[in-house]
Amino acid sequence: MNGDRPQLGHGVGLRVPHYERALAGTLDVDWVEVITENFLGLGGRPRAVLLGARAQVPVVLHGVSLGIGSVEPLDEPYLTRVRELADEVDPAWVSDHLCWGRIDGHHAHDLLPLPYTEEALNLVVERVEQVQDALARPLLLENVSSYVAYRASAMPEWEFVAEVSRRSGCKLLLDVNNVVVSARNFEFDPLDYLGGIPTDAVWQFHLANHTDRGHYKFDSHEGAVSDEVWEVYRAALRRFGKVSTLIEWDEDVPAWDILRGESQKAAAIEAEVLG
Amino acid sequence: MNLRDTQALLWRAIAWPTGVDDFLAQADVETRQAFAETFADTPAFSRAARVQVYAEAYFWRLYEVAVDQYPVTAWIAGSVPFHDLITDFVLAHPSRTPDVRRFATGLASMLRTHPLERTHPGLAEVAAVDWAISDAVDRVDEERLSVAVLQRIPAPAWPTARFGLTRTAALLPCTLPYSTLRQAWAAEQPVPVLERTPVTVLVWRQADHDVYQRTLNPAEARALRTLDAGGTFAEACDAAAGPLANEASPADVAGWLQRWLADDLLASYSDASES
Repeated sequence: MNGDRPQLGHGVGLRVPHYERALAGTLDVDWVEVITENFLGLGGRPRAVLLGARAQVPVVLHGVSLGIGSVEPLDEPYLTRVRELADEVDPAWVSDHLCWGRIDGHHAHDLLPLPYTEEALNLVVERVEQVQDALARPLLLENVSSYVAYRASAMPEWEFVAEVSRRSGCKLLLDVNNVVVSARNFEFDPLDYLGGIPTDAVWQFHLANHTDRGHYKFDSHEGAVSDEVWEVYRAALRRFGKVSTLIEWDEDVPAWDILRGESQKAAAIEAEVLG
Repeated sequence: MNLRDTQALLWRAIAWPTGVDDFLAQADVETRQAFAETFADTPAFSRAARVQVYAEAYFWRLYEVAVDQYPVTAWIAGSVPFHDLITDFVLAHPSRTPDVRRFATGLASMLRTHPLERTHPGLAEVAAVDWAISDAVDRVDEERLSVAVLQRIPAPAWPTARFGLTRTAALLPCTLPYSTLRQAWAAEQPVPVLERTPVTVLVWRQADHDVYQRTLNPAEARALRTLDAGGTFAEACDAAAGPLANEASPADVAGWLQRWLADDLLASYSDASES
């Protein structure tokens, strides 16, 4: 079931309040993920943090500005800089989101959903190859949480995600929280989503919390992972097997022990489910 | 509707400064019809409310980043006027950078002609210092000059010695007491009555990656500006002394030089007589 999927273990998203740990050599987790764009500068503390983290544990570069589904041409200077960064850091892999976020040269700084159409599929598949060539390494794409759906969509999201992976060969970062959020916002069963994703395509899980705003869920990354997300994580483990797993916590980032505790909880659940 | 037009429509709705309902109210019949035909609806969550989630996130995210990058400016302006300022800025200058931390690079420049500058004279200069501090964080790393290098300069070569400042350094004119204001902001004090006195603020990053700022006395500011412009040590001493040659002695400049060294402010040495 696991194929040649790399196994990084259980890690956390490294955010500013814990940068000192990277500098002090006290990152006692299996691996960390950083937001690529926060490290595009050429020096200073961010660069020292990134190199310090990499000296201790595997690092994944997780971008938010690629805009793989944006209609306009890819941002070549951005790709060049990410390539330079990746060459320097040697990340386990580079990931970004299956969405769009750039138009007429303007960045929305958001992960905007795509319509699930053949036109969008063809665009993304073509650009995955361009990005992987530019970065000279594989790209993982993450499913996003969303609030808007398009009437033109011709397939469910999971089918679109699966087709992107199948046609482009890119691996997937399955964000379990995003599945839970979108399932509520579009009234589908998270298990249907998991069931539609090819088992060998998933190389990474994201776990996080969300905010319930009454008539919809919002992807806030604030607070400990909810029971609902842990439950879908268990189902994901049963379907996909052992997958490198990462805790995201971006708002009111807690003390390190609490954050690390969440990754340890993920490891314990994995052991419980998979033995 | 093709993918390009779909993305353009979502972007227009999100970037409308007064919300999606107002966007639709102001839109022509064709746009309203396209909106209804493009985005899916559910009884409990209308398409306009769904798109509004992104619209709110867009302006809120950029506001939060700007508060981070321009903390003293935001504190002086107050949260609502600063939010309005950022909205004005985003409308005039939508982000063109993948790094959200850099979207408001030109804020100080825009502030000079903004109504907020009339109600808070000197605020644009404060913004320029705020930005210099943010900008210094991840500028390229470089070697700094050591005491040993200075000790090797023969006495006859001192008048023609040139010292280059670190590229993280900025000398900024300010008519508000920035250093005092920053201390008050950090201490979460109320904004004091602002009195204008022209000063020069020095911003720089030390080799340990911490970014500092301090207010210079006029003679030290002239000496540093002279060095920064490529002047020699003798020219810096003349500039420090001022037009009446009585504001600072060469011994004062030698004392400052020791501090500049200790602060990692100097990055290069050359001899003008050899160039």
